[in-house]
Amino acid sequence: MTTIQLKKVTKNLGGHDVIRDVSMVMHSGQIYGLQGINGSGKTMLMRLICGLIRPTRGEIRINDEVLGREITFPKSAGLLLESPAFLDMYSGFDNLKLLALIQMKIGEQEIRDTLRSVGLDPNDKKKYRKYSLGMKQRLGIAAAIMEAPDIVVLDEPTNALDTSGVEMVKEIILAQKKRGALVIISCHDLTLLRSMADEIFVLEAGSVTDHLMIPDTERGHLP
Amino acid sequence: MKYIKLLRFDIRNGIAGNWGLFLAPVILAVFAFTELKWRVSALWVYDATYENFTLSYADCLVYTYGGMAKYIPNPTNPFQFPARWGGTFLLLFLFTLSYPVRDMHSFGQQVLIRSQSRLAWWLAKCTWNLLCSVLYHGLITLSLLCVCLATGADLAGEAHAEMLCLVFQTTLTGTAQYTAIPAAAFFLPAVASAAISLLQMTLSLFLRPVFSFLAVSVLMVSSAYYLTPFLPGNYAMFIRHVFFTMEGVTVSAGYYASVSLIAAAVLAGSIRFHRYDIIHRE
Amino acid sequence: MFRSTLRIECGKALRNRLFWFSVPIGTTITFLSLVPQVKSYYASLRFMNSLAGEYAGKNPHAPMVTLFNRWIGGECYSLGEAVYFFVFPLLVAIPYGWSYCYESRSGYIRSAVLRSGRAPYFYSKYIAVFLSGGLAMVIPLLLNFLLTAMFIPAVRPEPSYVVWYGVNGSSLLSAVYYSRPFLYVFLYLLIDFLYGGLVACMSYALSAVCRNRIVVVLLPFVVLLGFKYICTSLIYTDRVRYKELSPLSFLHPAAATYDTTWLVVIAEAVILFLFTFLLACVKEKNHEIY
Repeated sequence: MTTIQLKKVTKNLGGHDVIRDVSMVMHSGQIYGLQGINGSGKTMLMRLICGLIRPTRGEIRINDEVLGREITFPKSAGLLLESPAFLDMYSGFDNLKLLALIQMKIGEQEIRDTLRSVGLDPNDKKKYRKYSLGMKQRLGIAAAIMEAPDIVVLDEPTNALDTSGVEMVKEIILAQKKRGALVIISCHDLTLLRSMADEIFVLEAGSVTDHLMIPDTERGHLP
Repeated sequence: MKYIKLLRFDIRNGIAGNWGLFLAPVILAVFAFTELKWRVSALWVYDATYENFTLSYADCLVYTYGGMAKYIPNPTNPFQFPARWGGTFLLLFLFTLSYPVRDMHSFGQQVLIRSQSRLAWWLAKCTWNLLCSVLYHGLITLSLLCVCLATGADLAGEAHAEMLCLVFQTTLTGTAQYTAIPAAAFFLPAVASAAISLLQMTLSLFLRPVFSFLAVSVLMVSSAYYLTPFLPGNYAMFIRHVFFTMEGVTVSAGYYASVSLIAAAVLAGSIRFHRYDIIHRE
Repeated sequence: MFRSTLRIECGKALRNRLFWFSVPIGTTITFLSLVPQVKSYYASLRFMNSLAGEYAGKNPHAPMVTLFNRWIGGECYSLGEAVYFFVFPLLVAIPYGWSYCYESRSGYIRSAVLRSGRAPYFYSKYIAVFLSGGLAMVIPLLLNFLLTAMFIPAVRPEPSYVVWYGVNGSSLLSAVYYSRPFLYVFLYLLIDFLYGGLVACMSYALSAVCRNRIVVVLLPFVVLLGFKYICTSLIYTDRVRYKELSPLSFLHPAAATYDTTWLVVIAEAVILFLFTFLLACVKEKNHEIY
């Protein structure tokens, strides 16, 4: 059971508040959507939750441990932030293998299964630098979910994906929720977000301006 | 344990793929040997024995890392920065400049989150940096050894201090007149270079990488300009050691200073990186 | 179209933060020359004033110390001079030399070329990079000259004091130095402007083969340092009567060691121009844009 708590979190960058007084509570087994226009602070908030940046004021607790003080990073998190970044000279499989070797939670079979689940061929020897944008995005999603982390953070996961890719992402996100992960996604497409998320935080100029609870029935009705 | 994994990762991606790190030392060593041979043969005007002089391996090492004699500012004595000596060290600083920052803003983010520890990541990068220095200077010494073997130079002989002072256009006033140069001295330039390289990497957390390279270049020029134990570049210049010049720097001071600089850079970097915002900055 | 693109590129080059970092850094480095020169000048004045008798307050060797051998370009023994003429390839490339590398990687070039056309984009970028590099080179030198002039008088150099100037009979423009020293300074600043611009354009041109922005900014420095090393090796062979070939040395107005010639200065400028222009504005211009 994972809980993320943000208490009056503010982040100031270059004299400008990019996140302002944000408070929220998130629990595992739920999908949380971040919605807002470009520059509203969605990616910054995700960075804060992942520990890549530190809040100027306020605190972030993950399972009651203060991020940046008691823990440096969430103990179990998978991340896709902005555009995926991998090593050009390796194939997709080799890239994921390198990452998996750090925590040694999964073996080659799990990597292959994850690649298949995102629509990539695990036996493809093509180097990452030759991947299309859609393939890079799929690989980024695979990296975020392959170790079955407790927290899954996906920033614009449907970027550069075709219709079947978008459906694939939806299925993956719902599968993550089903296994009990806490999923945080951002998306420009409000319709798509409403079809997946349990709660949506609407961000504007770094502040949460609205908090929508999406009933099950609404998620079930939409294609 | 995580540190070892991160280090292995850095060795694979930051060293194995860096062909310049392997090629440049070999080229530098060959050039240094050839140049020394030319310069020694030109010394026949002072002493005819230099015309067919047999160089020793120690001579080659001293020449490669010689630097320049103490500079005395004077309108009639223009300052000439030792280009080969400077290039030898600045190339290493160039090779170790962009990898940590590039990694931090791309694939390294995934690695960092999985490692759970900023300190382990930073220490792995510091170790990678030191390994690069060791490899680079190790390749220079190895290449010089191979060249000496191939050309019949004396591998076991001592450095010819008087000849080297003539080549560097200075007077031998140091202890090499009476005693041999200890082996420990031959490692000092590499250790000093590793310290400065680590300083550059730490500075990259505060400044943009290009400015940290600029700062280190200024440090090297200043070290060539002033003979003082407070500028670490002096320890990387053999001709400024106490063996060659009376007012020179000592080997023990060199090791203390370099190790202190390494420790300070690692500590400052770990403190800075602990609070560092990992955002791709333009 | 070309004029508007040129205006945009020059604006980007001269109004960006890096240009306004590079110039103050260069100026700060020149202070490492200005301060000791002014200090030593005033120390010598105090000494002169302390003399008794008919020489009190008078320096019979006035031409020995003049603005023209005490500004950073006229002297060759201060730390400021040593540092500035060593790191100038970095200072000139930092402002805008990286721009083509960045724009082609980010994809900005697609929008720019679509609107302006290939030729206006590449040519105006070349001019903008050249301008930013030239100005980054010359502004600190000019500031140093003007600041030094506030403290040290502009006594016309006398050939009998040649040993104190570093400009001897065989040096470039030596006749101008001894007859019209201000013109000498102006002409040398022009040469420095030209080379500062061309060295910055090396970054632009090398972006065709290197996609790392950091490396692209540092490459001209590495190339010039390597060239200087080769030149110093030539000095030690007795087969060549050495003329200064390395821009790291001959861009310094006071030659001090080896003299250069107009042939060297013009030939290297032409070679640099051809290399950078052909690579950046011909090869890259005709290359596919992804």
